[in-house]
Amino acid sequence: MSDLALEVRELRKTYKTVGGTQEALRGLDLSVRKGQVYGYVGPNGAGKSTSIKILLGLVRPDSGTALVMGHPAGSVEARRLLGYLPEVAVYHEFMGAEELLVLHAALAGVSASDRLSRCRTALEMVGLGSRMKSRIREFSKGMKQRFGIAQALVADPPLLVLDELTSGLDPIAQLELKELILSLKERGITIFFSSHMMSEVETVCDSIGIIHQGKLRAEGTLQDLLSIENRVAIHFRGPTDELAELNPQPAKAGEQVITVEQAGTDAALDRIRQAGGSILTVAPAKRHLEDVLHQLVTAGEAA
Amino acid sequence: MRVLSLLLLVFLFGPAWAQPPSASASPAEHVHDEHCEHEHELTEEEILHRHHQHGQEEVEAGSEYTSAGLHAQVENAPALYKFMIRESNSEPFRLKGQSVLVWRDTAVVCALNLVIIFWFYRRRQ
Amino acid sequence: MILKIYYLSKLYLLEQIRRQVHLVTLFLAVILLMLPAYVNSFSLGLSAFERVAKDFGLTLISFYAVAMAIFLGVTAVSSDLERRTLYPLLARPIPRWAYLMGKFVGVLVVLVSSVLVLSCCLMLSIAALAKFADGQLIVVALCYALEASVLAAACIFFSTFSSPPLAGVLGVFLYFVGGLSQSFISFFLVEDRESPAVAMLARGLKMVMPHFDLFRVKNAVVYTLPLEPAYLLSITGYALAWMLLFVLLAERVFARKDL
Repeated sequence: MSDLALEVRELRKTYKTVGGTQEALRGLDLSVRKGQVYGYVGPNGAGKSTSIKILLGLVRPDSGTALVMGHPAGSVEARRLLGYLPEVAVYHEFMGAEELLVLHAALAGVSASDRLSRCRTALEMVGLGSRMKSRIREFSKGMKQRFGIAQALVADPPLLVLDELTSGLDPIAQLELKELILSLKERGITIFFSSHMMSEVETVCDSIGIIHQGKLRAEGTLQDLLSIENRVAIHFRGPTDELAELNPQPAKAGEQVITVEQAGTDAALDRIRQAGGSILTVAPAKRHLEDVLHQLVTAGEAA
Repeated sequence: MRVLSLLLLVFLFGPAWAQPPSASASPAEHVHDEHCEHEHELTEEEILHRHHQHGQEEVEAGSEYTSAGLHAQVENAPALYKFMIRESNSEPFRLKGQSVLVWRDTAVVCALNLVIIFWFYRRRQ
Repeated sequence: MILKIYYLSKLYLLEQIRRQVHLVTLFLAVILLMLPAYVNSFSLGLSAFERVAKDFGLTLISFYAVAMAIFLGVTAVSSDLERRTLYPLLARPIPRWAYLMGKFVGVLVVLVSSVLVLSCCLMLSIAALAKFADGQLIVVALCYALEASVLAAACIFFSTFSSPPLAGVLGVFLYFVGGLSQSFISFFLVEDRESPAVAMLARGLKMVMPHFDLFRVKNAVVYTLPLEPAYLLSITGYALAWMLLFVLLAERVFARKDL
């Protein structure tokens, strides 16, 4: 029994467009272990939505394989084991929340005796316990998104595929959803999570895959992707003109930061002190996910 | 399988296509003809006459819902009007005994369904 | 799987009810309820009044059924696709053919039930004045519902490979060409025309399309002629065969479609 929840090998997809073709996926490889929260990031048009649609069986790949919990992607067995939150969460607006959820539970194969209790549990889990009878059209955007998660959770699947979870939500709603994701992670649910909000990916995910131009450009843990090998970041306050040779960069509120090779840390610290600066922190140098993404995208475009 | 489907189509529809239009026996006409073998083919004049009789009572009752009042103009009437009179008179006759021919058409469509289902399952396997 | 088809049809029906599609039916029902009294006010005499009321009433029901069939057939799948409500549904463990069947059964229920309601209204209002309830009216109206169901299945098929407006145009084309009676083709295209090519084309097109004219048995009830049960059974079988054909074709296209 494989410990992979998702396994994608050499996936290719080309769309026919007016006056030509467009390669959406060019040999995508991807592995998501069970129990992980996997952040799937990339710029618009990178191939995120196409690959997710292939996992759900909404789009047929030209070649390659995709397995969901060991079953071919798109098969009824594979879909039985996953819950899906679409990018734009649109539901039958005229239906009541509980009413629609019961129908979804029935379509997901939940037994009639369990349906109602499962629906109520799912709605309570996403904080909609008091709005079970409300129609979906009465919900705010954040509530609709939470309803979407309840809908994905209703059959108690071991894998959740969430497409652009927090797009268009206010910061409070985003925070609430992040907490919800973390609580689901604690319950052992594998979460495959596409986003272009780097901050939420950084705070929620164990592993990250960066897709660009239909290919996975980088994959690994946050630590792997963000740390810069053998370099140290020194935050300080003080004169910058005298330290121009160290190339200080402005950081938050009057602070400066320099990044140096690990071997040159002592020399750099001495130089700052000599110039009358005060050292604030010394830590391994880290990049932001945005920088990693930007670097990969630029490199990809140059190639 | 595609060739087989095509052959079936040609086999089923081919004869009808091959016949010259005037000789082609469509289901409805066929019934009409069969029916008329027992009674007799109504000529246009007979139909109009019958229609006239049919509408006479209504005309007497002051009805405007009849084409009998327009019967006098029929000599110079456009083709569509002549057709409408003929059509409204021949309609009830067409239904009689036509079920056999409808079943024949149904069998043709069912055969097509079977071809599609067979094709579909063969490809799945 | 049958249960899943039932749930999908239920979802479709609830959607139609809450979108108040039935208000159109109710509006027409009111017209049909008033029609016999209106026709009678012209003092045509009993038999003529009945005939006119039945003729107009059934024509109205037929137009309504055709318009609804095209509208519901074209929008059944495409509206789910446009609003993206299709994605969460198809992410469920249901095959695409079951989704299509669910939609089609939903459309059938809407069509048949509304035609049934309308024909009952017409029958009752005629019976109130003529003191005789003609049950054949309902049978004839149900034949229209059969015709409309075949058309709706065709429109669902068209909507799987074309845009909704084009699917609608194709539906209208199918209805008109498939509905040409053989005598119409004979009269205009064979007897009155010298070009055999036009006649061949008309016959050919007619041959590969459902013969909608078979379902139009209005004159039987207008002229109080008997309708043979064998004929009714045969056109029911014919309609079911065509519906199955269109649903199978729709499934073949829809199963391969990238959504």
